[in-house]
Amino acid sequence: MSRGPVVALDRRLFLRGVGGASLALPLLPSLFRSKAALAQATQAQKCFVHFRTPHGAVSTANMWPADTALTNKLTYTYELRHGPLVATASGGTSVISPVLTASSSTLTPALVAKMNILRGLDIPIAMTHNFGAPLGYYDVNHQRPADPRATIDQVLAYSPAFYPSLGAVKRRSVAISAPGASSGSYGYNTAGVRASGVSTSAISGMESAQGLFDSLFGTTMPASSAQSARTPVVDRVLDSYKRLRNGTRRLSTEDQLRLDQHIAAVAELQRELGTTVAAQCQIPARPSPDNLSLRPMDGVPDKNVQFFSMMNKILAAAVNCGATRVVTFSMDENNQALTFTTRPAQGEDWHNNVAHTASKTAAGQDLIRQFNQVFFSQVYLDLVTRLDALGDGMGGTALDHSLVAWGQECGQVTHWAFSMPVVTAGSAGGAIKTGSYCDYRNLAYRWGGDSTTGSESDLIWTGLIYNQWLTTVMLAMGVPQAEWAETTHPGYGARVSLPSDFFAYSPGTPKTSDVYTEAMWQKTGEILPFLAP
Amino acid sequence: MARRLVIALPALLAACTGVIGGGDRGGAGSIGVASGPTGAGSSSGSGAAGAASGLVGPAAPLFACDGTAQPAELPLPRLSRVELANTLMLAIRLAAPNEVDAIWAQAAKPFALYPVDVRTPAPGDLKGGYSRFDQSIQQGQIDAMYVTGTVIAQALTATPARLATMMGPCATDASTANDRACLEAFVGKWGSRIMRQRLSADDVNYYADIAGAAPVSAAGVSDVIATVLNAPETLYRVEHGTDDTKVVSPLSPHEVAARLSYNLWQEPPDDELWAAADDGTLLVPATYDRELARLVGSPLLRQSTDEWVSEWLRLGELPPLDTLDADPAFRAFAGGALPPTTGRDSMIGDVLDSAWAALSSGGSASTFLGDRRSYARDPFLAGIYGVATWDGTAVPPMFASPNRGGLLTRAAFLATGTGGTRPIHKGYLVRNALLCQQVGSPPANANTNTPVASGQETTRQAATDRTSGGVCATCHTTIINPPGFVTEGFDALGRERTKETLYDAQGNVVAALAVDTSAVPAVQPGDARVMSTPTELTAAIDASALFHSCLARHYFRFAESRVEATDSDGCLLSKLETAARKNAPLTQVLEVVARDATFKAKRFQ
Repeated sequence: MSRGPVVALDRRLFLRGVGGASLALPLLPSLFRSKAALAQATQAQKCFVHFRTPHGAVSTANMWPADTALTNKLTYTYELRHGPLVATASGGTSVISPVLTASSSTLTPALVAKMNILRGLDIPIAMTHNFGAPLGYYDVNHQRPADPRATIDQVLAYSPAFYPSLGAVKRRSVAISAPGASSGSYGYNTAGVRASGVSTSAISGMESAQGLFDSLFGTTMPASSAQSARTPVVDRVLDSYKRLRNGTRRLSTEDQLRLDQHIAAVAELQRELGTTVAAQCQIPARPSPDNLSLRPMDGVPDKNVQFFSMMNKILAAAVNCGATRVVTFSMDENNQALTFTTRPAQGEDWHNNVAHTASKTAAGQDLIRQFNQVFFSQVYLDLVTRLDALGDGMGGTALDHSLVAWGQECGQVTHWAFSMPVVTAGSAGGAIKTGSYCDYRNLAYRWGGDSTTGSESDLIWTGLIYNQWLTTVMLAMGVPQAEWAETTHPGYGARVSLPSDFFAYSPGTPKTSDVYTEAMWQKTGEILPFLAP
Repeated sequence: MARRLVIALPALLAACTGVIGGGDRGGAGSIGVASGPTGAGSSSGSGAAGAASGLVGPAAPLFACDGTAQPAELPLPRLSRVELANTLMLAIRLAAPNEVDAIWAQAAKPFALYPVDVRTPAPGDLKGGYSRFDQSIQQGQIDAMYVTGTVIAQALTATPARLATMMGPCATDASTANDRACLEAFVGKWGSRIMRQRLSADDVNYYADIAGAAPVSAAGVSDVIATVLNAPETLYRVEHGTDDTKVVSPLSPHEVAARLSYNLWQEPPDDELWAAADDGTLLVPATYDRELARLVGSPLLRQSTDEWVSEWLRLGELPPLDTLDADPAFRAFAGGALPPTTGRDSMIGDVLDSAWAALSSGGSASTFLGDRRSYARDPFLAGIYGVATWDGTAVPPMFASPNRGGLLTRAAFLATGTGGTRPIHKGYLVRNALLCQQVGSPPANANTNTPVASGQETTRQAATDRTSGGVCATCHTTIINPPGFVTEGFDALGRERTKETLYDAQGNVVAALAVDTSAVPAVQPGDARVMSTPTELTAAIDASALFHSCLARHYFRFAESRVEATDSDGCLLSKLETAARKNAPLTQVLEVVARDATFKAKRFQ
């Protein structure tokens, strides 16, 4: 046998393996760059974070400030309203609305000034359940859309405009969701290649804080055992796929397409392995024990919050270090067994007996309020404030370069996609104005004639088309329309429609085309009113 | 206030289009005329089929064979997460048979990041999909597998002793002259098994070259192993066929072996199957029959059948049972049967054990449907069934009550994790999962509000009140609710009852109302019989043979990892259906797929 060392060090693999090695080393303060220096590396790096919560069903009274807050008007395709976003502080609590309530030390006037709340954005389709709708995959009743679109996060993740340089990017995007459940994020069959079509499966998500840490700041890769300049294994792997793909042995055309998809992913792995997280970044300690050890936690709100805050801590650091710039959370009380209340989800029971009762019973609505208020104050704002605490060296913060949005599965009545709430923080580097309560409802059209909406029955108006919000994100993130252009309208995503006579029982019996006019569709290519800088 | 904890009203079920459209030929699935072939009533098992005599007969078959149709081919199938894990285990076992656990313990950590396959809905059938349908190629898979493969490779080469075990004495002897040959021999043998292909000399050279100038150094061999573990032939079922001139090409023996073993065991071929592939005898009918019989007769079959049955019957939807154990109302409801943490797993295991009992004992679809034995392995579930605990090996005890009539009354189908039953959910499960009848999606404005518990009405009454008006009634009154009502003689823990006791939030009894279990479930249209026990309903389902057809459909989906196209897949579906309807042993039903001509050939498209 050859007598070479059994245990040696493969330098190249060591470097490519990055995480294991770098993580094993204590981080020395002297290695940290100055804030200004770090800012140089990150100043142009916008980040997009999206939280999706299940069911919606937050009543008008609980979700929004009073109409008196809408002090300004704008004539658009119809009259819109907005006002400065204000939180009223009292007794250590700041209140924008019953749901948008948090500790005054968290929800400060300065932070409120960096936020927007957007009301009156509709997806004009009978949506019912969905995972991907808030991000643009209109999966009616969890089914594949007839005309699917990739979600905006995945378009961002592979956009050359968004990621002109991948530098320190370990993961183009991170999806947080229950394993085995849809993450709500859908990409293309061949990542980044629109022509390959929208994947039938969502991007796989994770919810282990340790797994998240490993994927963003390193890997579980052990130090390799050879010091010679060996060809990295990833190169060998890539070649093995190309050998099969381009060889003489018979493959079907579809086999070849799938091999191409895999080859693209191995190439991405190759890139990832060649990426090192800047040593100057302040990497948090690897969480131990993992957040998964908090389970079972159904009906234990403190644990529910901790579950996510452990991930927020990692993600804030990762965003600040440029290890990723796209993060999505898809929360689901059933698959994740959490409700942020003491009332357990119990599988579908929360959906059946809480979400569905929320528009008719005070008890149900109060549970929905609790869920969303705790989420807002302790999960959403937890990440927002972490980002806002990270200085960019130029007087701003990581939050200022980001857009952290919260969307919900449905509007104020579960199953319906009228007035899908959107809460934002950060200006995406000044790409959107902040500090507003924007109301895009069309007060001329009230949806009526449906007895299922309970106390909300007289409080559902139609509004602007949700696609315009998706457009706003894409433009704010600097992704040109050329990367996602549609043929039927200038906005992002599929042009969906309710039946023409859907509003037959509404006052005035308008046609759907009267409510969601062609002019409105043609406006979907613009940044939403009140948000353009 | 009375506390009726659940009136199940999943949005999916709240209303429907009024069309039961499961009949692919416009027949049975649409609750059509009962004019199909016989057989369902001739159960050879312990099921209820015998009781079906004289009842409405079997529905028309759902599937028909068009001999000119060309079935689709799943392109480049990706190993499922389970299949991949089993393949990696084999890789370790072949290389380090005495250290499998230790090395897998190292690999398990990075492999934990390998994404879980997501159960993908079948079009138009939200809950009719399987995790095997998830054929997506994800970055997370590639990343996690790369690290896992590297960890395994480094572990297998970590010591000279392991190298020697894996490659033989040539790896550690004093000579370097034999190193290349040593490595090539290893690649040729071990690599072939992992990649499920007989490697050509060119292949062997290709992988051996990766080791470089020191062929049996730890680093060199490690790189070879890591590359093989990440190779396309490892992560996918790569099939080239044997005749490039034909659109439909016969598979090689090794390709057939891989199909067999992954299909039935979720594992790569074992030694015996591999040997039969290697010497080419696998394609000899007698050998093929022998190997097929061995595979379906093995306990390893259970790996796949558990997954199939669990996803088919949506056992994963059963929520944890102990979450509300501290709730006063639930404690009062549960009484002495407060669920332990293991309660959910026990109930699911009871169903899976029943399926396995039918499979492993020559039982049929009817056997499984009507099985009245308890497989409760813990006192909690045994107490619910009123039987002694089962030790897992002895003859399982029979249910104590004659009213507990087989599959429909197993606790997993009755329990809700709360104190209230879910008759709508149960009814939908019968229609959709057991009869393959699609009730369609509810309109988005279906009335989704749960009725307020008053203490004056049972769950059934509340559900009826809630669904008897407007568009809801179209489907709920005659289609969805009745099968669920028939099992209302069991409470939300699966205990038999004649009265429904309602509690307030403090656990005080506020009412005890008589339960009405009579309904017209109309398994097939025109069947106006009133039924009041699950035994009657089970018999009607059995006699309709729709359960058998549904089983055939679902096994097709599972085995083929895709949704059927009833036109082009009609021949195989029809064979499966025929076998199931004849009440052939379930193992024979499973064998139908492997015996079909399409199984041994690939369509290049």
